[in-house]
Parts: sequence; structure tokens; C-alpha cells
Amino acid sequence: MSADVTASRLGEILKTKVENVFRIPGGFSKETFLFDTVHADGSREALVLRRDLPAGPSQTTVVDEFKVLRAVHRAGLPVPEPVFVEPDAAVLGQPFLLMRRIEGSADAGGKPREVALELARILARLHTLDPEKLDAGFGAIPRDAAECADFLIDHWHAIWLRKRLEPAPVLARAFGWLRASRPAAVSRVSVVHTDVGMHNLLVHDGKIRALLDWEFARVGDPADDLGYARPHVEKLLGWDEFLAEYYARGGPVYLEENARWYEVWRSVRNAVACTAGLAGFVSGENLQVNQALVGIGLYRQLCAEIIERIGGKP
Amino acid sequence: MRPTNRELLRGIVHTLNTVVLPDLRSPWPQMVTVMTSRLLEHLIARDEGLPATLRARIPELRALLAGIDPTLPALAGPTHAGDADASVEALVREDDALHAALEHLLVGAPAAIEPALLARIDALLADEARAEAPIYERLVKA
Repeated sequence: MSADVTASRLGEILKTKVENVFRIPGGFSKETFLFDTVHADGSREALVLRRDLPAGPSQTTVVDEFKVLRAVHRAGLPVPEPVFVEPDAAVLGQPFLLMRRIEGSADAGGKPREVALELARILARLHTLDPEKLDAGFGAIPRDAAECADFLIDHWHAIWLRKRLEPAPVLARAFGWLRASRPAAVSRVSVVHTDVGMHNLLVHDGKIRALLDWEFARVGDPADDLGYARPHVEKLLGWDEFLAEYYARGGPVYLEENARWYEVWRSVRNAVACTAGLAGFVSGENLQVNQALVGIGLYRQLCAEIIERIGGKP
Repeated sequence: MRPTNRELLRGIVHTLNTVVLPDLRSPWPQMVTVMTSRLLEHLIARDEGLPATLRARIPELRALLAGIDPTLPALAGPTHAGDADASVEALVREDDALHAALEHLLVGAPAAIEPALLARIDALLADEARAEAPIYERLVKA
């Protein structure tokens, strides 16, 4: 499936010389390749290609992700600059986007406090953007906590019903719990990234150069981001100090009970994504063997975590 | 004697790990080969561990469902749990049918389920997850 992402094929598409094509190992929901373009005047550009998987687990597309990236880049957030999107799967097997490569690593580089505080400022900025004015292609904007939650439950429940391969009483129980326990209030309906952790940061010399991987970004509850980021942050800095910086920059109030709901929801979403990935692998549409590993192994682990979290709760 | 599937799978894993993998030079095919090897190891673990796991949990699942509604169609047929010669496929089919019945109850009228019964269902599902974890943990480590 990756054989078609070659220097010559990319050169044809981009009408320039392409060198150093390298496929990044890992990645679950998209394929990622690094490469350089070499222009007639000898100048070079380092780019990243991110491509959808056929029958992928996340059921998202880089076409939507491109719109979000473009919007948050314009808003001044540290993200890779998106440069091109190709929605036509005929061109390179699947839709893909290109963005400029940013140097850095998922490591605080000996400056944990600085990195954590900068992350607080970035999240405060993200969570105070006006979703209505962002032009990120989010569609209907939820108005309150119930709408934020209902959209997620309905969307992922439908994917589960479409992709499921086996009976799953844990997920049936979990969807029921999610509906019955929806957060009562949201401090501010915000743009959320939903996968904020060190694994999605590019840090260079103690500065966050980029927040990566916007495929799950949407409009929702900032507690989703904050709850997910918290264990990552607490390896770098005390949570109270992080929140103080977040609030100082105008971040909405962190509602811990909402974060607990989103923790369960995230495990449910990931379990459904595992199911979708495995369904793609079993059908032969998705040839990535990691879909089978994750779809079987991580799925079971997530189901175990879900039932531990909600067990005994109506 | 003919080699068993398990023995053949072990042979394939050994070949992948000792012949194919050392000869690969780029990270992507290395990773795919390691994952394929792990997946085959999982099939061995499943072949070894799943029958006993299912034989232990099917009676518990049946007892729970019978306590809720003894007329459930999933309980109508004979159980394979006590049959030492039952194939893994037969055990999986029975286990799936029982889980489908439990899922149907949870989807149908979750609010009508008494808290004590819900707690029993949760406890059973948690026990199931713990019991089968060794079969799947190698995949997660990969």
C-alpha cells in the first residue's frame, strides 16, 4: 500500500524534484511520510505527507483535518503550516495532505516547567478561540454540555454499529452509562484538540514548536483536553501551577467531573476505533497488521478499563 | 504424526524472528515483521488459553442470564462448556451468543435493570476481562 509513495510519484504530483522519502514507522490512524522537495533554484523544503488509511480506525479524513490545521495556523497556534490537500483518492491511493516539517522531538528537553507552562498558554489560546469565526469546517456548533456529549455518543455509537465484529456488552453498557451520566454544564464551548500529550508535541530547546495530529479536533468541552493532558502535564509540573497559568491566559474553568466523563468517553471512542481498524483489516481493505494487534489487544484492554471505571455505577 | 497448527505457528514465528527480521534494513518492514510475529504468537496463546477461559466463564454467564430470564433463546441449546471434546469454534459461538443476549438486555432497557443486578453484570464483565487478559497482553506490549 505504501509502495506508491515514491520520490518519482510525488515529483509528478508536485511537479518538482523529490528526495529522501521516508515512511515513519508506527502511527495507527494515518500514514506519515517525510520527504524533501528540491526546486530549480536549488532551494529545498522539508515536508510531511499525511495520508488516510482505507477503512481506517479513526473514521476521519485528512481533508477535514487540513481545514482545521489551516484555521488554527491562521489563528497563530503552533502547528505545522498546511500547504496542500488532495481529496481525490485516485491521485495517491487515498486523500492526503502536505505540511511543512518542523524540527523537534516529543521530549521536554530538560525544561519541563517551561514546556508545561507553554502548553497551558497554548491550550488557553485554543479554548478561547471563537469556533463560529474560525472557519475550520466544524459544522453545527454544540450549544451546551448535553449537545457536546450527544454528538460524540451518537457519532461513535453509529460507527460501532456499522463496524462491530462481535457482541460487546461492555460497550453497550458504556454507551448507556455515557448517555445517563452526561456532564450537566460546560464552562465554555470551545475548540478542542482531544489528543494533547507529549506524544503530539514537537519541542526544540525547551520551546513547543508544534502541536500535532488534529484529526479528532472539534468543538466541545475544554475538560476533554485538560483531563487528557493532565497526566502528561503532571510529569512536568504540578497541576495547580499549570492551571494557574491556563487561567491567567483566560482559559475556561476546569470541571473535573466533566474530565472524568470524557476519560470514559475517550476509552469508548478508542475501543470503537480499534473495532473499526480490525474490521478494515479483516475485510482486506486495510492491510496494516497493526490494526489487528491494536484491534484485538488494545481493544480488550480498553474494555477492561471501561468496566473498571463505570462498574457498579448506574 | 502431523504437526499441529500450534507447532507450525511456532515454526513460522521462529523463522520470522531469526531469518527474516535480521535481514531487514529499514524500519517500516522491520516493524511490520515484528507485529506479524506478535500476532502469530497471540494465535498460539489463544489456541492454548481460550478453551479453558471459555469453559470457565460460559457457566457463569449462563447462570447470570438464567437468573434474569430463563426463557432466553441463547440458553435453549445444550452447553459445550462441560464437553472436553468441544472445539474452540463451538465454545466461541456459544460465548458470543450469550454475550449477544447480555448486550441485548443492556441496550433494551438499561434503566429498568436493578442496581444490584447491574453490579453483578459489571462484576462478571470485569472478571471476564481479568481472566482473558493473559491471552491478549502480548499484543498490547507489541
